[in-house]
Amino acid sequence: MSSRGRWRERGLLLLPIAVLLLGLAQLALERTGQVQVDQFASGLIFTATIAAIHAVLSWRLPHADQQVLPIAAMLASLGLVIITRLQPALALRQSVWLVVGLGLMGAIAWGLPSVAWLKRYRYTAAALGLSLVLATFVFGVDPNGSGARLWLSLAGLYVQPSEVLKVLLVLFFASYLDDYQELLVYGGTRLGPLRLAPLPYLAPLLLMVAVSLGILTWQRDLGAALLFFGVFLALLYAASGRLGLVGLGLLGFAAAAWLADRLFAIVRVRIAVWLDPWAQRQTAGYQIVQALFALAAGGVSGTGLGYGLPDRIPAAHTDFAIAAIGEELGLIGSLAVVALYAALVHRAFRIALATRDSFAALLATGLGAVVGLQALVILAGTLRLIPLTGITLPLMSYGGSSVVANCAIVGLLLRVSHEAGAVAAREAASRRASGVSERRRTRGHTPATTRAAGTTASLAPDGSAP
Amino acid sequence: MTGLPGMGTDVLILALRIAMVVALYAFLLALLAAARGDLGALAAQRPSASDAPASTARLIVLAAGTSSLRPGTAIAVGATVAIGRAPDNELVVDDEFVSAHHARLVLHAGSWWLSDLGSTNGTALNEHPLRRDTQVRFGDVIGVGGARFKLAPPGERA
Repeated sequence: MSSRGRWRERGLLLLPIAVLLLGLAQLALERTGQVQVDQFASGLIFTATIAAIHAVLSWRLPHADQQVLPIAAMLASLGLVIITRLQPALALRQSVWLVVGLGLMGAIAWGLPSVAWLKRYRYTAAALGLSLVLATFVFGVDPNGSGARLWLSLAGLYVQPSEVLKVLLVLFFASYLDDYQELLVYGGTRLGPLRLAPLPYLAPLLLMVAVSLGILTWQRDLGAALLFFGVFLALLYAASGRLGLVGLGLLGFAAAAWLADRLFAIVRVRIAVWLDPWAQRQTAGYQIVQALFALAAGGVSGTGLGYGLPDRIPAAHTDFAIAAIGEELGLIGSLAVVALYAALVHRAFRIALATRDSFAALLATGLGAVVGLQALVILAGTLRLIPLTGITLPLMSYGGSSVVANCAIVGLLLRVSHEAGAVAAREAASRRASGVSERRRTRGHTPATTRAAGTTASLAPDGSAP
Repeated sequence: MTGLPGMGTDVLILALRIAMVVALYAFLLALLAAARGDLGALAAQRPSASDAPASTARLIVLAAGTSSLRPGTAIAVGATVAIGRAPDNELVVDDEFVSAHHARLVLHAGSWWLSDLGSTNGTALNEHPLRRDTQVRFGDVIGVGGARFKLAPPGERA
């Protein structure tokens, strides 16, 4: 039994806590000239919750990745500091959302029967996600006047179903592609230089993609539509290793973008603002122009927390958090944020490589891709590298659904890495015990048993019954 | 309630700012160091992982015929694969046109060989009837009854 303890995680976790408390202290000093305990309420709540999650991981999931939680905590800390700076009244709410999110993270990491168990519920997951989003057509509300009814109101709380759908769709894609992986690689009919997977097996997948993209486009939730399509392509590539399929997808995307430009006024506006925000600097381009001013004012080292004017940027505490970071923490701060997302994606892909269960590997890949792409879409949108599509900055932005959904993603990553680590530890122990690695002869009796044999036999029985 | 005498609030804020940036970048450096160590460990693992391959090849189900196999699944096989409908075969294919002991796939001197075991409906290699024992290469398609299998190299994952 290798119970080295989670010392690396414990050490790393001290730094997000330090950043959060140092940030809150600066804000307190700048506002009131003194430091009082009640100004640290959100920070203390967050610290206590992180400590609790760390305790649960040390106790129940000793093999889980030790860097994922600290990275997520650092992003959340920076988010909490910037929310306290911009909307002090919302900081406590955000810390409560983080408690809920971290609680869900722990529940998923600890309480999930197994990663393979999730695989069986792919249609349940997809149906649940889509019906939540469909419900916004009927019951949708628009609490903050963004012009799109993307929220559901539940007992005074607003839920954004597309955030939930994000996680559930990754689950669906990973599960489906895992079953039909080999067909995508080897099977199918030729169409010129391209080999296409047999249509009957591809149809449910394509249908799911089309339905979710259709719904989101219909709702003008273009950021989410872009994100889902990107994740779909990333997973298709991870499962098949065929760039041709991705190329085909990108061609489809180009066609869809052209069509969207024709059909939707909002797309035309976004593209016009992207090309020249100054032409409409008081109207449609106002937000992005203010963000660019903020970044320029920040320079390399930033103005210091509380000394800039990021409150001029609409939605600075949600979608445009990076502009506020860039103004008050400078390039130093915003580059650190980019590096943190890169590190999170790196860990997710590393977890995928370490697991030998192909569904778990695809799941981790998809979860890494969804966080990375989401960060990329909104960061690049804020910096005017691509047309802006409103979407939250994962783990940093203010917003309950976003925080909880991204915490769930981190929880899944922790669980996948724990299962892979447990298998590796057991194998290492049995190798040490017997001197030779014991090998199980696979008997090709049924596909389900052959797939599970030798990999995760006792821990995660492959749930794919023939 | 710190009103440090002799030290202005501005200086204190500056010190906190610097401390925050130091903490942020110490964190990133720690991640970088961990990633480096991780890559080193990965490189050290590689050879030991390759010296014990889990299987010698995989058979990928392209078509199931009337059997209960599922198209798209990969079946890891050892050095000898008996194919047929009887349960004592390594690869059981319960297709109605498959004989009890239908065909055999053997790894001999580094190449795979396919033999028909006198089956009623014959064995096919790349859709041609098998007349004598024939060498099979990765990518070839083996047909027994209505089922089709592609011989593929062992995957990295089982």
